[in-house]
Amino acid sequence: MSILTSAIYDRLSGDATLTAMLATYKGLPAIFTTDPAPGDTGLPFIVTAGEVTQAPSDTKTTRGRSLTRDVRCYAKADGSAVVIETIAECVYALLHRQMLPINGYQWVISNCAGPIVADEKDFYGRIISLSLVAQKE
Amino acid sequence: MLEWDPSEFKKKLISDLAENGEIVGKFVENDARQRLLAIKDPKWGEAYRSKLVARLLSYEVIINSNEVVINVGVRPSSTSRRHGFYIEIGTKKWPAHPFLRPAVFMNAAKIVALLAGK
Repeated sequence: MSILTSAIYDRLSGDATLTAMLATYKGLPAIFTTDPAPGDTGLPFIVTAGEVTQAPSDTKTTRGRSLTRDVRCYAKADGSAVVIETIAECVYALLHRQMLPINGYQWVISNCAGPIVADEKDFYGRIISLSLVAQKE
Repeated sequence: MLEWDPSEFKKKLISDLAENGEIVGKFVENDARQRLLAIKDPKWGEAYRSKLVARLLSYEVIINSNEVVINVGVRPSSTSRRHGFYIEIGTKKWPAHPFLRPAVFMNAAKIVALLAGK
């Protein structure tokens, strides 16, 4: 499992404001770490699965990793983007320049880019890209 | 006697970067295309990926007075400005298959070396 998966899931699912805006799936907030999300989930939901990029971030005396991860938010296209944009902004606030506890790593710096629009025919989509450099403890 | 001419130095640097930028652009384009062609899912999107998006994948080197910009991406066509976008980021129903960003960020050291002419 990616070192980021549980850190991001815990951060997002631990925020009551965000989870109140999301659907529930099997009794839990609709935040998925598999891609695609289960076909029978309701909207809105969030998908974050796997790193977009992953590269070493070593120095002479330290070992680390540089990671990029997308967090994708989806909601029903009902003529107003208020819900999806509120969810995306909430995700951004929870991840941008925030301390993310990652087992075995010491957080160094995290940045979010976006949200960018990724609308589909019947759904609104917003993508936030999280870049993070994690250094070994 | 050594004479320092900043404008000549800058002109030479921009020229070298532009020349090496062509190599970097081609390298990243090729890497992205290999990643794109390696995608197998979904099967019904194979022709779109291999015939349209792969063909539109390209690079350009833009030389400005103070910078050299290398753009690598999928050119727009008459039917869409976003070819390849949903392959890169995924959709509600289909998984993401990033091919552009890894071609840059997972080759950072190689790109820097190529830019330096090594």
